[in-house]
Order: sequence, then structure tokens, then C-alpha cells
Amino acid sequence: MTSFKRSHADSRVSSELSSKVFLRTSKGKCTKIVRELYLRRDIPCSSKLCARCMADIKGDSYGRTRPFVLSSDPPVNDTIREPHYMVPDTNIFLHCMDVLEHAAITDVIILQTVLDEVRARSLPLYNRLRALVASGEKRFYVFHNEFRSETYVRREPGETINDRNDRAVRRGVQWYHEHLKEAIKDSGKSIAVVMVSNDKGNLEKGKSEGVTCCNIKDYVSGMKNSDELLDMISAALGDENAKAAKGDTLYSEYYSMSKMMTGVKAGTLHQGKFNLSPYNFLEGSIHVPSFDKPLLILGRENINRSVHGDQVVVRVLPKDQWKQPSTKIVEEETLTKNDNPDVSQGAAGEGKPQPTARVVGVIKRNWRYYVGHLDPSSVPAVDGKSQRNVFLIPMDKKIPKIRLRTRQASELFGKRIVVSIDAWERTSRYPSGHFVRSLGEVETKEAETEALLLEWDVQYRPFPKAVLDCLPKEGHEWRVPQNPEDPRLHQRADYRGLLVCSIDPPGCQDIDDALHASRMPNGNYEVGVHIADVTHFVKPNTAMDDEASVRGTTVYLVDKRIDMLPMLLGTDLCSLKPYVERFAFSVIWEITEDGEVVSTKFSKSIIKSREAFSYEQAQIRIDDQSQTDELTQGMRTLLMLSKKLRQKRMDAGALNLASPEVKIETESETSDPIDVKTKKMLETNSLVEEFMLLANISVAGKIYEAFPQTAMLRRHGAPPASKFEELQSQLNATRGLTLRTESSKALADSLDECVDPANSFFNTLVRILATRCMLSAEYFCSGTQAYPEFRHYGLASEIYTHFTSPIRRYADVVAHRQLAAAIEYEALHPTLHSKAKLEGVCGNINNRHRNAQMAGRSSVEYYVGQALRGKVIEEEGYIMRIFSNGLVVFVPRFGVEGLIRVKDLATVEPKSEYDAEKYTLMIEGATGAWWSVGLFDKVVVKVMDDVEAHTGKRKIKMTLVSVKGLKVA
Amino acid sequence: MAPIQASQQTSTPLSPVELSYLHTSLTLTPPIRPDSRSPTQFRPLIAESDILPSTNGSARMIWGDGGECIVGVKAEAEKNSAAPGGSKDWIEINVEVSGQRDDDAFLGMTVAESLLVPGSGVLERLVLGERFHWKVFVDILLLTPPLSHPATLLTLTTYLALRNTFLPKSVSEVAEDPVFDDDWGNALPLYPTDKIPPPITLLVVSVGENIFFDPTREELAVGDIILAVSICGKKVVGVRTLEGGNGGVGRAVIKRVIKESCQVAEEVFGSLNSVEEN
Repeated sequence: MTSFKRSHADSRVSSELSSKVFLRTSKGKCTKIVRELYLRRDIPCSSKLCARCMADIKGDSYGRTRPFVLSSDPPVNDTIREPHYMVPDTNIFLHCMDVLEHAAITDVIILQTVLDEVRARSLPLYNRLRALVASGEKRFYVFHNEFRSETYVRREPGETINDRNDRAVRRGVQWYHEHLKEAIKDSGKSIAVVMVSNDKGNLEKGKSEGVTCCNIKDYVSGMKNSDELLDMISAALGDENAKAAKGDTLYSEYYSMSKMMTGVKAGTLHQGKFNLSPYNFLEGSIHVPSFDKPLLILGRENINRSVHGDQVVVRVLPKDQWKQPSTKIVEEETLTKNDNPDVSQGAAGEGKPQPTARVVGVIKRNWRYYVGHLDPSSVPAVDGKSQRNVFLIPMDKKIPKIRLRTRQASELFGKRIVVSIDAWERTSRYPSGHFVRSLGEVETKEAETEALLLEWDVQYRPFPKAVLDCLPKEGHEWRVPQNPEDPRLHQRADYRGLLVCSIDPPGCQDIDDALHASRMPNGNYEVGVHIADVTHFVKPNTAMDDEASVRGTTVYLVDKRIDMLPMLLGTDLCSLKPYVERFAFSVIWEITEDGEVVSTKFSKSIIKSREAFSYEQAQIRIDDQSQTDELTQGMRTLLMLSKKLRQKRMDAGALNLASPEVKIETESETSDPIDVKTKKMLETNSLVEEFMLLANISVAGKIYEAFPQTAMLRRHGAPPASKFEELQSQLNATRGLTLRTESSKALADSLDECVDPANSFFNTLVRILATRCMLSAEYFCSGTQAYPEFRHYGLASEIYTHFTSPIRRYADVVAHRQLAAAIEYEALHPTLHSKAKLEGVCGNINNRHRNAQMAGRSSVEYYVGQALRGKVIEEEGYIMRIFSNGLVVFVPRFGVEGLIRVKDLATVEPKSEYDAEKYTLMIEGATGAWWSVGLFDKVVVKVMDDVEAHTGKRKIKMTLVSVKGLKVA
Repeated sequence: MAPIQASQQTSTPLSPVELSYLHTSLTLTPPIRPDSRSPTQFRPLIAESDILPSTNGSARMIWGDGGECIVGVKAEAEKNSAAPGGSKDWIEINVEVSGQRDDDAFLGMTVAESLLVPGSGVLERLVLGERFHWKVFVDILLLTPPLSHPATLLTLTTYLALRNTFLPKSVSEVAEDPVFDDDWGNALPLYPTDKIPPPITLLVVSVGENIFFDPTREELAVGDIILAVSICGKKVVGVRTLEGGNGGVGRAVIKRVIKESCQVAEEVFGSLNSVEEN
């Protein structure tokens, strides 16, 4: 009988074949997994010193070989005094990634065992490690020790997997050592292979087995910039060896993972994302599916070490502990001074209490890098090099103070620094973290810009080489092919003869869109929108495409643009610059005199823009009756049609919403801000906007028709009526106006009726407030929603997508590809067929979009602060919100709002009475006469700048000068 | 006096005369079996365990007459249900005979009934905390049915597979959803050596005063009665007559069958257990 079995005995003899068996538990199921391993002897060590591996090397199936990575002249330092390669173990990667990313560390061997462990423990760290290896600059090499027969280690009976892996690491180091010794024995050189670990046991075992090994701290201490590097070592690692729990435990212990999973499944516990209130650092909330309202988490003990953004599991507290959300502003600063933070701060007010809960465990930490500055009170006055504890105050108020151990306290003071959180022990009031790097002095432009990019998670590093390699070889010399036989011209319409022009903001370099219009023989108009053909250059599944999809959008800051695509494409090859031929994706309509679309045609094309106008130039040209050339006539036609289209849209119920937009004038040389102005809207702005909307709607219809399951669309949900309740009652009480919200049409009409003859800005103010009641629009994949849900509420369109700005938005790139496939220009890439994949893309770009907006806003906020620095300006403002103890004033000129507290009105807090029904506040003046201020009232305020102590941000501060023309101060 | 040929049981190629001769030689004292085995001796067989790496336990056995059987045991963690079947459903046995319809429940029944002997303690070992249990699937594949009755082959292979079956070690609390140790080496045996082993069923045929273990097709054809004796540990837990006997049997003979079965079974257990050790 031939045996079915591959016995262990066989594999011991040949050692080319082995298998491993392990169990995997997931979702209560347990699977036995058997892996067969084919061990090899030809995996190279990749050291340039080793001639044997070099000679042995075999290519892949195409015969390609990889160049050797590890230098023949590796670094030396004071701890390891001979040239050496470093082999860190898993913990080093998990806790000291920042150190390893430092330029001083080179020639590192990453064992496959370690890489696998890192992947299992933390995907983000794994990706960072992968990126380090891929960059090639620092000579990191992944050695597949699990597949090389000499370094493969079988798990011993009763051995834990961690011990086995540690042994595999030691075996790998040992092998490297022997292998390299053999390789260089004739050259007279010496080389060491050093295992770097933090695990005492592992280090001791290594020593006894004759492996050169070293503690990470000792290793780093021997390097030149040891202070900086030592600070980058995670605090969690330091604790590992000295886990003597000192002091009282402040927080209750987390449940075990299996207990939490059981509880969540059984419905006794709830899982969700932890959100901290921006006004009260002791009030968190979590939205869980089983409750309509978010669960409140009040007080430090209940928050139990959760940080904003974490996925946590909570237990609902008994009903007698349910509370109302607090109405006060509670800041960490004031509370820690009084040192009374453990009392839960829920206000026991009247009204219906909300359910409260306590965090019993964390499923997934959502820790990222945090930017902040050192707490001045924690930095000692004396300068010294010894290590000390300091506190970092993050810029984001929702993040608690972070404790750092640093040797550079005095250097770092007054700087914007980046830190990362490592752990939050039960005995520690604050999480502990480690220093990553310094961005520069607080309030310098560079540091603040980088800080806000980091805070909003904007990818701002230069494009990696792999991405730049995807660019056309010709670079700026790239030209539209002139030979009509060229395959790139296949199915491409030649629109070079059309009188196309572009209209953009002044100084715009990435011109996405261009337009043309002409009269047709039948009396109708031919109107074309031509969009930069980005997808001609950015093919799916390339490094450039991946990068763009991760970045999601171009981010515009006041003085800076963070591109989604490399400059060469964005501002040159794709940009529809005037006087040169460019590839475009064109939408051509036949439109009647009344603005009815008769037919629509999509095609890839070649165009030649005749002129690039700014909105202002275009307006002047249209208004100048002496200009009668065809191009100007075309623009007049466009303007005429756009007005009709706009009217139709308005009739259908599109909303004209306002958001305060300001423009910052900067000095041309230094780009320092000088002044702030509100942006002007011209007719030409809405000309371009109308046709872009029309193009987007046409494309949305087409791609949905072609790909009903996977079209990339954009929707804007109707806001729930409850969101408008407050605004409705405010309008009713103060002005006797009604706001109807049953449809977007009704809302648009009633918004038009909201006028105050005495207050020309009133209408805009109401629109700004109404905008805040809306939901935000989002990208989605058509298969995930029912057709009625596709509706874009604000634009009153049944279906909508983004097509017109592929240079700066990734959604448009996807729409371009889908449209190209829908018109059978090219086959659709398989990734665009996958609903799951598209959903991932949508999730990411929605998130990136929001972050980009927030980053842009923070940038404006910073610049407004800078522009007003040292100035005191009296400016008109309007009361936007009113509280019992303060007012929020909106100043349209700067697009900012500021809080004025009643107690700040006079040196002694004046008496005040608040009428909540009428939204008015009565205040006793200095002379004893009472005056009143109501919602939406026009006021004059003094605007000045002020540095916020908590975040170190320069912000606007306001004081009240007069109300409705009556002086109050 | 030649016994009448049993119809469906075993259509031996022997003539009535040859059958009569066989019957006579088996009734002698001491009896003479055609292959000169002693009454309690088994035909040579080949057995190996742990042949399917991805199962929780497995075995394969080849009988001297060409019968071949593979058994794989898989275990899955399952939520306790309130259904009336209760713990009876925790072990599911499925027999597939190649080349035959799979709705022949009989063979499976033989094995299953004996596996669920009360008091053997198996079911207790399948409990996982308060709300879960292991569900064990025993898949028996009869590659080539033996010429004689398959019961012995099936149960011996199943025995071997079950003795080699390991259940992942649970590391969670009783009230929680189960979580298991990732080391297969730490898995616990379904039948620890100090506990009652899984049962086996032996086929015994009696001819006159004599009884024979592991009867061949020819011996079955001339037997007075054919008994399937299930033995669990040191006890006989079931005796069942199979169709095809040609006569009656005395009470003394049954007593001897039971007594000798226990002795034979012990030897069988011993030799099968030594298979595991290799």
C-alpha cells in the first residue's frame, strides 16, 4: 500500500518541504489551517559583500533580478564598533517605527517572520515599513527567512508562537552572521549582524546562543543624534521591562476581546466610534445602531481612556444615571487647575435625560500623529540634558494632553511638534507618547501650514519616484500627435477648429474646463464643454492612479496648493492652456433658444483653446459692446443660455445657498497677508457654473445608464425637517417670517422671502444659517442606493456626478473612465466594475474632501488672524447666535464669527436677562439704563487678534461697540 | 444437511457441496477455517492514522479482501440550540459507499448508535462554555466495500480516526463566545487515553458450537447466525443479529460470544492503539 501521508520523517531528511499547522478562530468558528512550505536554498542575503549569493541569483520568470540592497560599507556607531547590519525584532517595528524612519538608520534586514508579525499587529505600521523598503534610500531589505531551509524553524511542542518567532529571528541573525563570515573571510574585512530588541529574555537567549544583540536604547545611544532618536522611542516600550505599577489605578480595566465580542453580539454591549464634544472635554458621545440618540459618556472614569475617533465598546448605565448633555463650556485647562476632573460634569437639568454609558473596552485605536505645543507650565526653567516628563497640548481640543519623556524639553518649548500616542496605562491620567519631529516655531507660516496639513491628514509629501515614473517620458515637451494615423488619435474628435476659451479665477494654472458656443444653421445653439483628458495620462492600476486615489483631491490653502496629480500633468499637459493643442473629453449639446437640450454627444477630442480669461476679464469683454469677434459672441451666447438654464434650475427648486467666502490679499513677494476681502460674484462665475452643472448631470445620466450598479455618482440628501426647527422658530420670533421646508422648492421660495428692508445682509445671513442645517453631499456608488436616493437636494437634480475637474478631484477621474467605457472608447478597467472597490474609493474621497475643506478653512482662519495681527478694526457684524451668557457675532467682511461673553462687556459682569422665546438679551448698561440685543441684529464690533492660550492659535477676538447704532461701550 | 444458500447476503461462487464441506469443517473441534486462521484471528489488514492534515482526525484502513475505508473527523463550534434533539445531534455520521446510493442509513446507524453509548463521556467533552458545543462530523468513505460485511471495517477505521481526533483548546471564559489557542499542538484529544475509548463493532459468526471472528464471505454464507457485537471499553454494549443466518444458536454460545468478544476486542484495541504511536 502506498501511504497517503507525507510523513514528517520525509521532510526532515530532505528539508526542502515542510508544513505547518495552526488554528485560526474568527467569528466563533475555528479552522485548522495547514500550510505546505517549499524551502529553498537560493534566497539571497542581498549584501553587496557576498559574492556567493550574487553568483547564485536566479531571476524570476522573466529573468529579471533584483539588485542587492545592503551596502558593502554599512554604518558604525559607538555601541557597535564594527560595520554592521541591523536586524530589529517585531517590537522594535511596533514601537520605534519613527526611529527607523530617521535618516540616520540604514542597512536594516527585515526578517519575514518580523514582517508577518508586524502585519498581523498593525496594518498602518506594516504599510509604513513597506514604504521604507520600497523607497530604497535607506537600504532596508526583506529577507524571507521562512522560506530558506537553513533559517526555517519548526515550532517545538508546547512552544508559544511568540517564542518560536523569537527563535526564528535569532536563527536568522545567526545564519546571516555565519553566512557573511564565510563570504568575506578572504577579504580581511569584518562585518557584524546585530539583533536589536527590547525584550530582555530574547536578548539573553541571543547572547547565550552567540548572537550579537543589543537593546534598542543602547544602540541608539551610540549614535550621533541620540537625544532626538531616544525621544522617538515609544513610551510603551520603556514600560515593558519595568512594569511596576506605581500609584493608584485611575481607570477600570478593559474587558477581554472575546467578552466584548460576545456582549456586542448578544446586544448587552454596544460598539461605535467615540466622539468627544469640542466644548466639554469630559463629555463624549457614541452613536450605536440600537439607540436613536447618541449615548452620552460623561466623566473621566466613564470615558475610560478613549480618545476621539477610537472604536470602542460601551455598556449602557442604569436609567437613574441617565443625564442631559451639559450646557456649559468646560475646558481642560480650567479644570486641571482646580484638579477636580473625576466628577462627572453632566448637568442635572430638567427635560428628558439621555442614556449614558461607560466605555468597557477599545476595539481599535484610531491614533494618528498629533500636532501641538508643550505646556509651558510643565517645562522646567532650568536647562538640562536629563530626561524629563513634559505635557503636550494638542491643537485639536478633542485630544487630551499627552505626556512625553524628552531630553530636549527646553529646545522644543515654543515649537510646533508632532507626537504620537503609544499607550494609556490604567495608572496614568494622561496618555503617554513620544516625540516624532519638530515643525518649527509656533506661528511661523511653514510650521503652521504643515501642522494643519498633518491635523487634517493631507498627504503633502512630494510624489514618490514610482509615481513620477508614470509620467510621459517627453515631460514638458509632450505634444499632441500630428500624424492622423497615431493610435492615440483613434476615435478622438478633432475640435481644434472650434473657438474654445476658458474662464477661471485669476492666476489659475490647473485649467480643467473650457467652453465654446456657436449658432447652428437650424437656429439652435451648439454648446461644448471641454474637460482636461486626465485619464489619457493616468491609467488605472498604476502607481500614479493609486496615489491620486489616496490623495482624493487637491487641497487649496491660502498660499499653497497640495496637488492630487504631479505638477507636470496638473499645470501643463492636462491643463487646457490657451494657444496650445490639448487632449480633452468633450460634451457637446444642441440647445434651443429657450435653453432646452435637444441632444447630447460625448467624445474624446483634441482642442485648442483660443484664450484663458479670468472671470473679470471675461466680464469686461462681454460687456464691451465694441468687441464683436466670434469668440466674444460665443461668450455672449453662453451667458444668455446660462441665465436661462439657471432660471430653470431655480424654478425646479434649486437652492441658492451662501457660505461666507473671503479672499486674502497677500504681498506678492513674501506672500504675507495684508488684507482680507470678501469674494465678489460676477455673472461669468455663474456662466461657467451653469454649464459645468449641465455637463455633470448629462454625464451622470450616461454612466448610470451604462453601469447601473457601479456608476460613480454624487448625492445630497434632503435635510430632516427637525434640523430646521430652531431656525424656523428664530425667524418666527424675531421677524415673523416662516420658513417652509417640505421641499427644496418651498425652501428656496421661502428663503427668497426672508428679507429685512432695514438690513440688506439679513437674507445672506439666513442663507448661511440654512446652509448649516443641510446635510453634506457625498459620493456614492450607484448600486448602493435606490434611484430616488440619488437626488441632489441643493441642485434639485435627480442625478448628479462630478466630471468637470479631473485634475483636482479623483471622483471625476473615475467618472471619466466610466464615461469613456460607456461611449465604447475603451474597455472599463475591472476595478471599476467592482462595487466593493468603488465603495472604498467613495469612502476615502468623501473623507478627503471634507478634510480638504477643513484644512482650507483652517488656513483662511490662520491668515485672517495674521492679517489682523496688531490691528484693531471697527467693523459691522450681525448676531448669529444668542445665549444666556453670550453672543456670537458674524463679521461678513472677514467671514469670521466670534464669541462675546456678557461678562466681558464690562469690568464687573453686568446684570442680564435672557428671553429665550424672543431670542433677546437685556443687559444693564454702565449708567444703569437697560439695553437689549436680539438675534440677527446689526452691531458694530472691534475686531482684534488674540492668541488662544490653549491651542496656541492666533484667533479673532471681538468686543461690542454698538448695537443698532446705539453705543454700548 | 447442507445449509440452503442465503439469497442476498453473500453470493459465494461455492457449490452446495463445497458449502456443506465448509460447514462441516467449521463445526469440528478444533475447527478448521479455510485460511487456517484460529477462530479469533483477524485477517491481515493495513491501517494508518492522521492521513488528512486538514481534518481534526483521520484514518485509513485496507482489509485483506480489498475493502478500503477512509474516515475523516471534523469539528465545528456551534451554538446550543433549544431543538429537541439536544446533545444527540452533536455527532453526525455520514457513510458513503462508492458506487452505491447514499440513502442506505443502516451502516451509519450501526456506527452512530454505538458511538452515543450513554456514560461514555464523549458528549461532556464536546461542551464549550455555557452556550456553545462542538459539533463533530464523522465522514466515512468506503472506497471499496469488502466482500464480507463492512461493519467491522467501518468501525475499526472510525475508532482509529476518533482516537486521533483533537479539538482545539478553548481559551475563553464559559460565558463568552469561544476563542481558541492557535497552537494545534495544544489541541486536546477527543478520547483521552484514560477515558472510555470509542466503541467498535465486531462481526462474529457461529457455526455449530464454534464461533469465529472476522468471518470471510464464505464463512458468513455457512454461519448459523451472524452477530454484530459492539464493544465499548471492556463491556459489550450491543449485540445485534444480521440477516443471513441459517439456523439458531444456543444460549451458551451467545454467552461465549460475549466473553470472547471482550477478549478479542482488547487485543484489537491494543493493536489499533499501536498504530497511533507510529
